[in-house]
Amino acid sequence: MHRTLTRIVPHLDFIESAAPSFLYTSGRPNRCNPAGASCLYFSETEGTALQEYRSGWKGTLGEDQPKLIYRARVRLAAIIDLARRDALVALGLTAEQLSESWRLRPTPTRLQLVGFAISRQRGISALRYPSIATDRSRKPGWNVAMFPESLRATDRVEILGRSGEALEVLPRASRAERDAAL
Amino acid sequence: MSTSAPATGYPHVLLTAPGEKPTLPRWLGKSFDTEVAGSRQIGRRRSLPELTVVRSTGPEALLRGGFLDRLASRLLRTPAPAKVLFVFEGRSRSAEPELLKQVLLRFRDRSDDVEFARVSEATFALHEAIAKIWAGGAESQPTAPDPGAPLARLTRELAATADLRAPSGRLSAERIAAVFGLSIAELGALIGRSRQSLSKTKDSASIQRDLQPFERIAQLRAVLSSSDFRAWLNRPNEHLDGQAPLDLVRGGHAAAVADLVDDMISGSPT
Repeated sequence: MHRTLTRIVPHLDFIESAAPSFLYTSGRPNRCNPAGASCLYFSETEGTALQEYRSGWKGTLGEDQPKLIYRARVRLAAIIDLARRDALVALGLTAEQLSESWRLRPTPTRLQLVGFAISRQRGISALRYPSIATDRSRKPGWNVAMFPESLRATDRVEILGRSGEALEVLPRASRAERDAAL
Repeated sequence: MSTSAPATGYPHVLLTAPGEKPTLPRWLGKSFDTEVAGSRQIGRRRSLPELTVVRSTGPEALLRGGFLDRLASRLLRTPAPAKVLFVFEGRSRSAEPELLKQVLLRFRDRSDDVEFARVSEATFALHEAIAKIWAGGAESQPTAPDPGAPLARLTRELAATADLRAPSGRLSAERIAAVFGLSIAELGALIGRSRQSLSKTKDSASIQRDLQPFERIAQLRAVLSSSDFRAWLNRPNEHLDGQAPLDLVRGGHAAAVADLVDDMISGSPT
């Protein structure tokens, strides 16, 4: 995968301040990872990111408030594209399992277990999966879940600044590399 | 980062002054879409338009009363680019730098968005402010946010939940119960404490960990007003299998609700 991904956040979050890190992973569970597995989520297009944002803030004043868009330029050597039927079959996943509810489940979903397996190896670094937010509005959209600990040395995730420069980069330089650069 | 559409026409102007609604001065002209508001009306607003013009006799008049603080807090909530232009109409031809500094300090990290002018140069200052708004809008289009100032972010997040804390700085069970519309007894049952023990020591160190999910949920108030937050708590949510967040909190699932709030604030697709 070699493309620019997008995420939208409430603008108010940044008015009086700025984000300390765009590549921070909390280890909280999400659709493609169980608790404890680090994962970064982005949408493939601005339209999908907007649908995702609105889905979260639906019914509140936050839905239409000013938003902030940030982009990540990614170059990933190997990902699993869940748009491919053969990938679903190989992983034992059904289309329904890609959109199943996960927040209140006592046990991880099949998709979260796949994400957990990816987070424990190096080589495959991301899952491309359908956006539930856009599915509901009948417009196909895709998200990408990236696993920072699975990135190869040649993979690259860059948060883009005002003039296209990289503000933050994954994989992070090792301490030895940082010392050498000084 | 893109925030708002670039300014292609003259911005909407808010004309205000300490005290009552000011009259429309000749130097502002009629070519602007102008709204006039007194100090009290400023207090009812959440944010400011792109350009706010303040008529005042001088900085001393601004520093009296609560007008300046109300104005500053609204500018801090207003997306850039936005400007506040103070036009001094008093007889004095100069202003003490110390007084101007005191005015600027009220606007904290938005002091660059504050302009001063004497009435004799008000028209030019107005045009200059508009040009800066347009330039700021063009600059903010294809960009990402400044990654600095983590301390400022921390300050904002703390401010969003500051009212949940007792004077000791610890989370207060009483205050959290009030924000969530729970009784002390209900909150106590959720975190495994009796009403008596919570009432006795509302900010006990031993309950801080149990109260953290409530604090994470309350961070939503950095974005939503208190009334919108309460409405959100009580509305069925499709991300929570159609259940209302408050029902889930009552059912012992505050952590799941807190995770959803984190995803909303961080913009993480789900």
